[in-house]
Amino acid sequence: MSKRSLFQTGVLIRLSLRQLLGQLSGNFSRGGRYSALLAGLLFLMLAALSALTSASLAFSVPDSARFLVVLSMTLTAFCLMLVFGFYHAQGYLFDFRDFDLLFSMPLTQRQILVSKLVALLGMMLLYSVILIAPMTVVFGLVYSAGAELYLIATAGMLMLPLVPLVIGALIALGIRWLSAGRQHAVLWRNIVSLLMIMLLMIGMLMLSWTGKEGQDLSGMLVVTQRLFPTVSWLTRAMLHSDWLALGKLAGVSLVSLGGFLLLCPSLWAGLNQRSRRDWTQAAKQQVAACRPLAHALFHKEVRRYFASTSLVTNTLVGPLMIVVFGIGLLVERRQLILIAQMLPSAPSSALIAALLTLAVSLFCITLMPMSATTISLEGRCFWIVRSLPLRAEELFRAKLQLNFLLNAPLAWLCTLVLAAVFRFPLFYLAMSLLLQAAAAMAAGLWGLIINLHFPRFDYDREVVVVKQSLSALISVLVGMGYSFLACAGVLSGIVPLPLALLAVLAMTGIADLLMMRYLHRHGEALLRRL
Amino acid sequence: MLEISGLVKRYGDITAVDHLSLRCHHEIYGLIGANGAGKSTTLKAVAGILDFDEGDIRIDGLSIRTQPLRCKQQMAYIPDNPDLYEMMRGQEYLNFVADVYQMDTAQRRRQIQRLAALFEMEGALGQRIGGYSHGMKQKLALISALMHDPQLLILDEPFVGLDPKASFTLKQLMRELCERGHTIFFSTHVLEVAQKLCDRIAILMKGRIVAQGTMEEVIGQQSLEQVFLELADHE
Repeated sequence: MSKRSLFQTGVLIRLSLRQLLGQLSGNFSRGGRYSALLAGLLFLMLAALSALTSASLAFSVPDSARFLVVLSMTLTAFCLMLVFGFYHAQGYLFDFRDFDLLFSMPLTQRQILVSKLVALLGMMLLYSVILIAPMTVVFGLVYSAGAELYLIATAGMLMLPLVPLVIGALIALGIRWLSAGRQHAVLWRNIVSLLMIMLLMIGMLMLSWTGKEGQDLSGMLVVTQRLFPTVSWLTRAMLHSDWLALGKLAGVSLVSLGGFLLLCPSLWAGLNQRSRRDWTQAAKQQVAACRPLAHALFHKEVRRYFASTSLVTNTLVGPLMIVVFGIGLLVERRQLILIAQMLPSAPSSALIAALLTLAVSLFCITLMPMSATTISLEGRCFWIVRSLPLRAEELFRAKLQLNFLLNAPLAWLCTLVLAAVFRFPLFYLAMSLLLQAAAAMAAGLWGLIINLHFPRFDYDREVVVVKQSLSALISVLVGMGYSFLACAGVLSGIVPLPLALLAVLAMTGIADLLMMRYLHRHGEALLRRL
Repeated sequence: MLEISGLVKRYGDITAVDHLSLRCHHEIYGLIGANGAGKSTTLKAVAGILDFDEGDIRIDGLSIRTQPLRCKQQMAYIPDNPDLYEMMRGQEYLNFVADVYQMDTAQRRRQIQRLAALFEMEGALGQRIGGYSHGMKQKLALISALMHDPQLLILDEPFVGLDPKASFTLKQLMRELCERGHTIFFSTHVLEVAQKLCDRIAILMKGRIVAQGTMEEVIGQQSLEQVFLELADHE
């Protein structure tokens, strides 16, 4: 590699890292004075949470099982990087707005690919550092480890993301390869991406079953060694100061990254350019008859939603999880009956199934409402709806309708099928259906309000809005908090179960009404302020 | 038709538009200024896209602040860089806009056919907007804006990206609309276009109007370019 090309690669990497840092800090106070400080605070908060988890684990396991502290955190980091690598790789490798500019410059495909991968790696290193660094410190303090541990952990943190990075990039390439050049390329991409998510979920389910079959800790180790050798090497290196294991981790990681960079640049560049060209043939289009305004706006929302792979894959995860849960519950029916018999109050398996279904569906419905990103995703086209004679309420209604229809019907269907199989008590069935509807409405309203307050228009790929924006983050946290509080309220036993369910329903309904009123009174002003 | 009085728009410490006042009625009114002079900000405020700090904007006597829907019903706006819904086909986008303005089927068919033929876009309306060139997007945005026959047309740098024929067609259309009693309020930094096309102009510098009136009043015996450069030097 010549001096010139090394310099160019350095410049590109610096640019990518600046883009990454700008986006991370831009999530807070819209890139204002305190954005870097707020981003730093969030990072510290997450690191503290990670340290707390590691500490509680270190103090709860016996000395002989200390490897669990290292293994669980490195495995979590690896799985997170695998999942997020898959999510982010599509955005980093294909959706950046500067690709035309970069391809027009005297740069090689490999240089451009390296710069984008470095940004993706930077993102994944954050996960690695947040999970592994605090654990290393806690582990070192609790078990009085030497300096070697910190050296190995630092090297491990840098190496561990490389394999998930390559896997994520390969999956992203595969998805683009399958969808490029097809008539409905985006639809294909969405379907294949959703299938990948289903496969990941099933994989994790199978992993937990394999873990169960292992029965003991050695069984768990065998499973990890077989499925996640890099995690197992890092664990071994940290526990026993095994430099050979660290060497294996570094070797495999660097070889996989090197192989990818050696073999894939031209395939990537071809797919990148193909996927950004429009291959659809001109279709005969008719002048449509006049539709009601609400219908036209809803149609626009549907088109917008399904045109975004990152939005579909992120927000349909919740509804898909409900389906996966439903199938799982049907498959594991006998286990549920056994659990019911083992409980002291011996509730019916129907009641347990009803409550489980409700808890899971509430969690999934409120997990990631698409409305939390919908204003931001209007993006550069926002001028259209803002210059048209539309009331804010009409625009909001279309967005809320879509959010509701993406979540509630699947939850209802799943609940009705499970109710038929397990014979849910009628009261619990009715409460489940009503609560699911109220929760879907609440999540949609909350997401929309938060997005109106914290929109993000300066993104260079949609995944930034969908996964990293402040409104998405707040919605996810509040959604999780709501489902946790609702379940805790119902199962706390402070009030009888039916009464608790009625109370949660009433509170969710009141929240819905309050948020509707807020949007009705302030929606127009909020929209105008943007 | 359009009356702007004492318009002020600030972005933090920067005043983008500083007590701007003007009136235009059944004419082609050009807003001229260097980059960053406040032209786009003014147009966005008129279109109801951008809120402002002081002053008022009235369209046919109605305030854009208090009656935005009635104002927007009478006008159309096209930004300097028309980002359209790339996932839609051209025809689909036009249908969407027509639905918002509740145009009946016969009217929208007639208008789309006429305007698509004028801008030579008939063959492209079945394609996805994502595959359009900048000029095609500009033409589609123009068709969507003209489709419902707005009384006030607000155009931000409308000639950028258009091919010579489309540019000529647009100028003719603007004149035709004006003769039919419509008002066109547009920004440009192409001084030749402004000089040939506008009935009245305003020269904007650092958010303030430094000269306005009919073309004769503003330029006298000089060319618009000379006047503009003199004013710029003076500022």
